[in-house]
Amino acid sequence: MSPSVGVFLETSGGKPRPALAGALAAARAGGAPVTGLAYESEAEPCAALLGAHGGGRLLLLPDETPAGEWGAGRIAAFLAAAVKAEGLDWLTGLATPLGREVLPRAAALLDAPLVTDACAFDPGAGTVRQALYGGRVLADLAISARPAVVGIRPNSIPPAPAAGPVDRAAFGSAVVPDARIRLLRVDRQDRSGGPELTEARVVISGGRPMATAENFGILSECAAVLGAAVGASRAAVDAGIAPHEMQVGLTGKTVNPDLYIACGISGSVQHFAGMKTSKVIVAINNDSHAPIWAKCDYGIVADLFAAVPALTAALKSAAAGGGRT
Amino acid sequence: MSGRARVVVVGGGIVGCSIAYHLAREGCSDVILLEQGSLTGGSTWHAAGLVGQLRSSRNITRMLRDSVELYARLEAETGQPTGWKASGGLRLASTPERMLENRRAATMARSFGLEMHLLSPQEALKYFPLMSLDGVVGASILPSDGEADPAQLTMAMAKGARNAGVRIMEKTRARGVVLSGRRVTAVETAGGPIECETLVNAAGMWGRAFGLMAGVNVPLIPVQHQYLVSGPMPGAPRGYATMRDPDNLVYYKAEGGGMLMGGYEHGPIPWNTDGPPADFESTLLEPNLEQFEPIMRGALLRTPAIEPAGVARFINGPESFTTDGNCIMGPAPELDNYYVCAGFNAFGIAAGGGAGKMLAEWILAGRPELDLWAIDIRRFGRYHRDDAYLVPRTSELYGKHYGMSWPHEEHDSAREVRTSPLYATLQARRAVFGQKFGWERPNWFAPPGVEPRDENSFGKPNWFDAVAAEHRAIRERVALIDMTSFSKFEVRGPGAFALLQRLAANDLDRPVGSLTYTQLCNERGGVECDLTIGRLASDRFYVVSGTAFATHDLDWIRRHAPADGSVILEDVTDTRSAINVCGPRSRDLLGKLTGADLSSAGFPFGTCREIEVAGLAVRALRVTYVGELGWELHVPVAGALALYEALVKAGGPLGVADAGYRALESCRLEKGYRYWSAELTPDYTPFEAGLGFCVRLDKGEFIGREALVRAKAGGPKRRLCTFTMEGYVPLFGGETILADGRVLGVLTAGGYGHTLGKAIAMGYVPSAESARTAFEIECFGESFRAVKGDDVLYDPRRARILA
Repeated sequence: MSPSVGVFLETSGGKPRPALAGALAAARAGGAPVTGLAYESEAEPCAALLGAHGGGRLLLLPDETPAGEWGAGRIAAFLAAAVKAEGLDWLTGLATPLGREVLPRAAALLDAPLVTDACAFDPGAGTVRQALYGGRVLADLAISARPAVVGIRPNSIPPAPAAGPVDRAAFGSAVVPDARIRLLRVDRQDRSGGPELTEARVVISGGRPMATAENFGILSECAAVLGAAVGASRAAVDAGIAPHEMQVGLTGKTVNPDLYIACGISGSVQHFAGMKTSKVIVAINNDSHAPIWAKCDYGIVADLFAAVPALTAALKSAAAGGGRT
Repeated sequence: MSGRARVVVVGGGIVGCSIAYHLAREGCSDVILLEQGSLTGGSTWHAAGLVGQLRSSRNITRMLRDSVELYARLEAETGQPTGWKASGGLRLASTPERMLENRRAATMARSFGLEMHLLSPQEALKYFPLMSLDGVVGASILPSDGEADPAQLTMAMAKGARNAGVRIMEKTRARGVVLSGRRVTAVETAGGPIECETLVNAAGMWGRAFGLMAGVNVPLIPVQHQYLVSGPMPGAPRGYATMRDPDNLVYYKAEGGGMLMGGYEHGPIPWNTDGPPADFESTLLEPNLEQFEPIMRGALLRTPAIEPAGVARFINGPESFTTDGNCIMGPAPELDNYYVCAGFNAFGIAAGGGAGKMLAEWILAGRPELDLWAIDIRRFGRYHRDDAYLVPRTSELYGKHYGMSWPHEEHDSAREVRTSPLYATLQARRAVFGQKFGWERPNWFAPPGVEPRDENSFGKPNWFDAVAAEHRAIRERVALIDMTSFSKFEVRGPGAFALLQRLAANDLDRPVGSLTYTQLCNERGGVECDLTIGRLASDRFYVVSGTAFATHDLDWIRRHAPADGSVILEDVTDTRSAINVCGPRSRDLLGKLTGADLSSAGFPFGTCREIEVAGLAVRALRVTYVGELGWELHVPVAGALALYEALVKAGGPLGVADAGYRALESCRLEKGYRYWSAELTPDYTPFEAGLGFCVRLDKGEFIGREALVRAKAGGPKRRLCTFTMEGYVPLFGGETILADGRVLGVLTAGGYGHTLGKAIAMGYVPSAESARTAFEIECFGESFRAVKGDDVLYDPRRARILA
């Protein structure tokens, strides 16, 4: 019998996370219909996502509190109850900050094994590939217990879009959240509309040569055209010209985009620890000794203050259907 | 590619880059630095970046101050940011004992010329507002301490080195060392050999394995070390002091909008003790949360704000640690042109700048500017090679990183590595042992009713009365001290006399059977070794030195020995035991067991003879380190136990007693006998040390003579003085010497003289101040009156020795 897989459809700002497409592709590969797990108020966008990625059953928990504010304990309780009630073999979701809170709790409630940072998942074979040592070692794990919980690293599994029917069902069983923890308030930081750094498919980062916080504006303009998130090096953050939330590297965030554009970043080992899994790395730097030249796929030896606006202009022109530049 | 350079540095972490930078700065830019991966990719890149300066040694502190001085100017000099901030170093005391330790540290900082202040808990809060004051007794602040971005800092030094002409080769692994006799001639790389005149092993965690390629022992092992970066903390100030709360095992520094927090747990996890895989580059280990739990508990107590902030990053990065918490620097004794600079015990960022400077000087001048014995690679011996010693002792020291630094503290792991033939017998007689250079040595003997173990304390120790009784036995009757651990060498061959005569400041041109107490000086006149040399034959000498100095002293002699085979050097330490029979009744005791003439006419002080004692062939040296009549009986190990038992049996009616090293220390302080590594170091001449009587400038040429001629003519700049203080004062060395509130120096030793009934201390002060008699000695932040006494406080006319 094909293994049944439940996917926690995590949302952000009322929309399911785009990286869920990869998780759904892996879940579907097992051969059985996928069970999406979501809240009723977010049924529409979640159904749309599921329908565009093979379809399946969408199990919805009635809302009692405003959408997006349930707290990790309540979500975990729902997921665990759903796995039990539906007899699911696998529970999976994204290894995002929320996923890292929710999935271990659900695993504990289910007394189930947990693997996070999975970069491949084959429910049919019962195997999970886990990235260890910052991605230098890939461990293939055979998981024998069921149910089992898997957190998938965003952007690590390619999506496989395919239309399919969605069968909605209300989850009737009572969910008893952990009464010891109550979410009081959610403060959201303004992300100025761009994608979140850790999930963006394109990241453009600036280093110390950006010189001022205002100069990061040229990166933002470029990012707006590319649909990119803006990052920064530790040196830029230390210099006070970028906030720590933007820091990419060992003591900052880890990003995993298709394209990483490093502007005025020397490319220290510290910085690479946060972006080395980027699929294509482009460097713009005028220091020909910078270590980044040994590690990038494409390099532009140029002053970033000339190169970045030129790139933005060219991209705008291309987007507007303009000729080649 | 093949090539050559005057110096090849292996390792592109902060230490290797600093060495290359400083070599170039000192004018030697013909340097190639080899890095197997990317610069910083070993352990530098994941270092937390705290830069503290105060260590218990004045010269190591000076080295760390050099780091700070460099970091403060490096960005301006190279144009490369370093992240350096003099944010200050706050150290909390969460127990009363820790506050005493802080007081002691403040005293020490003062004597080293470093500004440091003691704080109330409320004052401490100003430097680190994010903490809870729960349980805080007090704190200290070192305002010039700070923090840096280790990766950027290293890149800045690399840039400075490169600008000066150093060639830095990344992705180039040193995979072999080519030797010719005792010299390195080249380093093997995939691209071919690189010839060099001097090789530097700055390979960090790989340093031990890389050393062994050339037969060089670099006793360090990688140990997992973890820290975390918190999520943002609302209201956190942008910058604040680095903070250490050793009682809660934790350290902190500002990081992003939150904090970086790590610590040192007991029972750490050594990892790949023979070196990480070659491709373990820019790599971390998986977090081990269970292992981090004791540190997290400490952090939750001290900084509750970390809980809601959460964990943004958790980092497990291995780093090199050593068996005594100090780094490993200097010329490898196994080879003639091989230097080591590795094993930084997680203070590589703090030390890197200064260590590179010191090592560059060491290479270019043949010696460091300052005595660096505490970190000298020659403090280790052969027994330090194996995991059986390295792993347990290094793990214990890691766990004690934030432990109290107790005076006279001994360690529990890796004991009984080297034992005297008398070990079990002395243990049965309630000896409490201490370990030195791997040897178990009796420190004191517990009388009936006293538990035979040290109790750590800053006050009067639990062994005080027992040591007093042993001291009285030495002074009033006769005592036996097991000195088997003493370093013993034989130097023989047609060139032996010429070699030793060229090294020694005293004259060795004396008859067979004479014993000479002498210093071996360097070209600056500083004391490199402090030896007793017995002339066994015209071309054969028996050299005796302190337990811990076997590797060092033999290395000093070997480096000056001719290579033509005319001198043979042999370490015979393990072949002979030594039992010191000392005290006014020692002649009576020995007389019962030997027919040899023991009278001062037949066996004068300062001579040695082969005699029979209790039927055993014994080399007897009439010499003393306690200031009484006595002999050291150097006996082949096979006969040691029989000799000891015969002495005990014959000595019964004379009231013979066992004595240990603590009684020896009390006696030597009363006699003003100097100890190498404390009173005698390469920083001081024999004249400054009051040993002018051992220097024979008229004997002909010897190493250091020119400097000593100048030193004698100019008069000593500093003078070693002996001080006494009324009653018991907790002195352990390192305390400050003052006069009229001015800092004049620091104690080299301190203790209690049981015959004098006073505390005794020694230390150097400027000559101009040495005429006065009234001084103050600051100890735990309190000032005590001290009187400068004669150099020799007990029996200055030596009547008891010459009896």
